[in-house]
Amino acid sequence: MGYLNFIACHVPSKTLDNLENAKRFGEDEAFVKQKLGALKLPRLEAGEDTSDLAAAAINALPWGASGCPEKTEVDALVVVTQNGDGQGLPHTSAIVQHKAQLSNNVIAFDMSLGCSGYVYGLTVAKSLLNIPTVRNVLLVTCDPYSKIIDESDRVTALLFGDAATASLISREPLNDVALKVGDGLHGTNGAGAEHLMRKPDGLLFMNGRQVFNFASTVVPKQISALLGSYGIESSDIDEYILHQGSYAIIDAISRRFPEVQSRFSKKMEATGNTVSSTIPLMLAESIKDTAKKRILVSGFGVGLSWASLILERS
Amino acid sequence: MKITEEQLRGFLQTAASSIDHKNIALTANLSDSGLDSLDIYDLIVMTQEHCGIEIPDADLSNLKTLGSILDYCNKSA
Repeated sequence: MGYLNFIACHVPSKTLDNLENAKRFGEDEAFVKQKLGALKLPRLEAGEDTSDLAAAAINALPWGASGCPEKTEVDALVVVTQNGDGQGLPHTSAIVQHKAQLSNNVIAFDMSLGCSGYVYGLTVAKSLLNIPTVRNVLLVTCDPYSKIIDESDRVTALLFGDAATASLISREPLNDVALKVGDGLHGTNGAGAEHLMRKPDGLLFMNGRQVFNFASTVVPKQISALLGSYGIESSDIDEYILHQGSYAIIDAISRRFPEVQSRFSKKMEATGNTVSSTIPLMLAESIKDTAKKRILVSGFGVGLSWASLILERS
Repeated sequence: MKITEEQLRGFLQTAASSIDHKNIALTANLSDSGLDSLDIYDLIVMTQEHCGIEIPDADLSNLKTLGSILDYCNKSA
């Protein structure tokens, strides 16, 4: 049993104007607004690293207030990133543990996943709560792609932004807005690994067509299968929060569910595609709306990897 | 499964709703007709699913018009 109780976010104040950025590639305002969705792309400040964003998100949680436990009561820290501090050794979660002043007794490890990482992370957090000594798990997403973006590549330079989020998942509901973490569905297909990868020069490569193909066909099937596993209809979900890859991808997926298409949320104007952070950035608002009893979350991307689960009001 | 011109134009309308698909000739370059790269990805996904085929990246560069997509898919399906 696991309950998502609190979510906090940190978005760097330094941003790139994506409308100006798009002019370099001859793309117009309509394309950026309607197809990509990202008007601003937040960027790490000079001298900042992944762990700094992660610690800032953790520090934004209401520790010791509003039902939130103290930092010392965090038993496990999971950091979802593929762009950690330095060269990836030591693991970024160890650096985050220190910067956020978490207990030395905390279980801390990194999870190497991209845009499916938050949903996978919820499943892992829930599993960790089966350990007798673990009562509170901190799930952090922080994958600043600005470290690996080729600014001359039109496929990726207009999409990705930097951000971090911190979610507290606990054995019990700790407030009136807690969401119970359901049993999700997860998928992996390494045959598509080459479509989204870091090249030998260290920069990001994305085959946009293949990623679009994958997301718009595989994800709707998993969502339908998840609804089927619960024995519920698409109309029984109050909000669909999908990874915000681009507005075009959300539109292509939501079109498969015409009866509830308006329930598929889109929100990446101020942040862009922040990889594993897009879903919790949106959930941070939706968790407060108690009229939403069931929220379906679905992440998909590098791997290829995809995962969906349902969060239910407790 | 084969695809008709009418079905393909229906997919085009879905993929690029702001474009008047009736005015795009079979021989017209889709990019020159106002479709962006994401519109074309979307059109190809719907067409692939309808025909039950997968169009390799290498072949996609030859499919720049509605006519070439029809010919390719109906030979492959």
